[in-house]
Amino acid sequence: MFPIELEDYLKNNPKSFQIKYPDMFDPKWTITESGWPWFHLSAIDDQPWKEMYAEAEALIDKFHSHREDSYGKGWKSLTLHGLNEDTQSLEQYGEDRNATLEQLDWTWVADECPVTKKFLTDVWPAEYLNRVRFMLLEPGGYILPHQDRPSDQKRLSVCNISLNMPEGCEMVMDGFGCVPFKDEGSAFLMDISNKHAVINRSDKPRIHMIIHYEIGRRLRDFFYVLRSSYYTNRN
Amino acid sequence: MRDHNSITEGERYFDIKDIDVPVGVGMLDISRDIPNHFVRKRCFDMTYWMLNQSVKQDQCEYRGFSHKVSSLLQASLDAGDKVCIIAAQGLMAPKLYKIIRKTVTYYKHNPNFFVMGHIMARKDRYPGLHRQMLIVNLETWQRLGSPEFLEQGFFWDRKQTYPNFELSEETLSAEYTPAWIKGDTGTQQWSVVEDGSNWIALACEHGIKVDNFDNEMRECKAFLYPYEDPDKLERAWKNLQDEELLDSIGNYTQRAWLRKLAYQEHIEKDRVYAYNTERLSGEGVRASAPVDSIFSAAAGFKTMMLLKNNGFHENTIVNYYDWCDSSLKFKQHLLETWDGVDFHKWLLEHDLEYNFSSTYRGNYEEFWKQEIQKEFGSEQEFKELWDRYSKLKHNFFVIDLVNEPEKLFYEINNQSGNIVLWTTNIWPTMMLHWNVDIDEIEQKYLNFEKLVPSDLVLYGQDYLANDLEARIRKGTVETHPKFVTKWKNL
Repeated sequence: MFPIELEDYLKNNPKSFQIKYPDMFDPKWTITESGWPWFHLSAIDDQPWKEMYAEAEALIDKFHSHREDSYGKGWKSLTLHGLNEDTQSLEQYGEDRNATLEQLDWTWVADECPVTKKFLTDVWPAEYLNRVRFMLLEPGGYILPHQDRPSDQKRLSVCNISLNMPEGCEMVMDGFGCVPFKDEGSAFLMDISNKHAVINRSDKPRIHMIIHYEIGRRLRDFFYVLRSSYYTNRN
Repeated sequence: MRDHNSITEGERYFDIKDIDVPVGVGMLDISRDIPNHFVRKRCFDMTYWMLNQSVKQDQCEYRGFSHKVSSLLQASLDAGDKVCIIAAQGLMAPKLYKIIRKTVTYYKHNPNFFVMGHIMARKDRYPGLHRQMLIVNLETWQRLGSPEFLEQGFFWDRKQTYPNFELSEETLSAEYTPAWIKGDTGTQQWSVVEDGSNWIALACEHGIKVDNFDNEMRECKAFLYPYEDPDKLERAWKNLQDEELLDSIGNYTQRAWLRKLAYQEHIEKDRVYAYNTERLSGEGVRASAPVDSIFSAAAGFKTMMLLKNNGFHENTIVNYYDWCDSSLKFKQHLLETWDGVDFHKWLLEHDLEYNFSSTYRGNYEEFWKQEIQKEFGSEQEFKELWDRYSKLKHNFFVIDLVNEPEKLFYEINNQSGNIVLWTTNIWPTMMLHWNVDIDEIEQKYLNFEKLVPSDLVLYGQDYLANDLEARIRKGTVETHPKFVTKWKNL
C-alpha cells in the first residue's frame, strides 16, 4: 500500500513530457534556459551499466537507510565518493564548504566496484566529483513528492543513472510525468527544482547512481557528451 | 589580396640555413569540438598540408596528431627538437616558413622563453593562450615539469588560486590581446580561467614573460574556427563561388579565408605563370643523354633550364601541356613575338592580355633581373639559350594532368628517344587539396604513377611534395597521415 498523497500525485502526472529539440544545439540554453525537466545522456548509453548494477547489488546489505524519517520508505544509499560510505548533503557538514570539499575522496565502496569507479574516472565528463552514491529503492519502497532545490533555480544539473528500472518503478516529475529511465541502464541530467517522487511497485530492488560534480576544466568534454546526446535524442 | 601560389623572393629563394635550430610541428586534435565529419577531416588534411610544405623544405619535422598538447611536445622533445610549434586542426598557414624563421630568431634571442602564443586576457577571467597555435621552448617546458596545456575552466566551488599578473599596455588585434604578460606579486582566486591558464600561471610564478604573436606572424596564418557553424563552413568549402553564402558566414577569419580562396580559385581559371614558383636548376642533371623530347607544364622558363642542364639538340621537341588554355596561348605568343631581350617590356606590353600572377605584376623588371642574375647568369647567356630554344618544334596540349593523365601519356608514348617529363607542383597545390579529398588525390596520383614509362626522366613533385624521381625511381614512397580521432560521434 502506498500513501494516498503519492497515488494522487502519480494520477495527476500521467503523461511523459516529450522534448522538442531546436535545430541548433546550444549548450548554455539547453542547461539553463530550456526548462527541460530532464535530458537523456544517450551518448553514454553503451556503458556497462549491468556490471555496475551487479557491483552495487553485491553490497546490498551494506546500504544505509536514507531519509526514512521524512519522505522515503525503503530508500537506502551507499556512497562511492564522499566523506564516508554514508555521506549526506554536504551542507550538513559545517559552513566551511571548502574544508568539506577537500575531505572528499573515494570510499571503500569504490574499491569494491572497479567498473563503476572506472566509469567515474574515465568516462564521466567532469573534473571533480562531489558526492556519488548508489541509491536503492526496495520493492514496495517509495519517495514522496519533494523538491531538492527552490523553483527559481531551474537548470539541468545532477546526473541520475538507472542501473536498472524494473517494470512497476516510476520516477515522476510534477507537470512532466514519468522520467523515461531504461531498465538496461540510462543516464539523465535532472532539474531537481521540479517536484518529483519515486515508487517501486516491482518485486526487485531498484538501484540508481546519483552523481554530484563540478565540471571545472572538462567543460568541452561535458558539452561533447551533451551535444552527441542531443543529436542522438533528436533523431 | 595575395595569391598563395605565387612566388615571392622569400619563398623561391628561401635560405634553409636560417633555420639552424631543430623545430618540430604537431597538430592538436580538436575534433571533439567540431560537430561535422567533413570539416573535421578536411581541416586535418589541410592543416597537415600546411605543415608538410615546411617539412618537405627541411624546415621542421612533423611530430603527429593528438588531443593532448603534452603528447605532441613529448614526441618533439624525444626526437631532439628544441622548439615545437603546435597548430590546431583548422590552422591555415601557407607561409609557415616565415613563422618558423621568426621562431628560430626568437629562440636565439630568448633562449629561456617558455611559450609564445595568442594571449587571451578577457575581463574577469584568468588569462591564457588560444589553442590555435602555440610555440613552445621544449627545454623550459621540461624544466617546468612538462605540464599539460589545460583547457578553459569554470568553477563554482573550487576557484583557482593563481599568481597576479601584469599586462602590457600595447595590445595587438583586440583590447584583450596584450603584447605580453608577466608575473606580479600576490595571488587571487578565479572562477573562470582560459585555455592554458596554468601555463601562464607557471610562467608568472617563475618570472618568465610570455610574448604574444606580433602582427607579422599573425599575417602568416589564419585559423578557420572550424567549430563555429561547421555545417555552413562545409557548404562554403564546397561552393567557394557562392558569394551570398560566403557573405553570410559570421566568423570574420573564416569568411576572410574563404573569400581569399574563392578569389584564388576564380583567378586560377586563366592564370598565367610568367615566372616559376620554384628554383629552375635545383634538381640538377637527370638525363643520361641529350633530351629528344620534353613534356613540360607551361610555366616560366624552367623548361629551358631543364633542357640546358640535360642537353638538347636542334631536333628536340618541346611539348607544353596545361589544363589552362591561357598558359599555352601565352607560351605560343611569346615564342612567336619575343626576341629574348628585356622580358619585362614584353610583359608590360601584353599586360592586359593575360592574367599574370599578382606577385610580380607591376614589378616585371625587378623579377626579370632576378631571373637573369640568380638563374641564367647574364642576359647574353639567356639570349643565346632563347635563340636555340625558340627554334625548336613546339607542341601545345590542353591536358588536365590530375584527371586525365592517360591523354598525356598517350602523347608521351607517341614520341621516342630520351624523354623528360616535368610536372612542377601540380600534385601538391593548395587549391587541389582544398577542393579534392586527399584520399581521392592519392588514388589519382597512383593512377598517374602507374602510367609512367620506365625510361621517362622525371622532374616535379608527387601529391605530398616529394620529388617524383626519388619516389618513382628510388622507391621513397610516402602516403599521407590518415585522419583518426578518438571522438567518433558528432
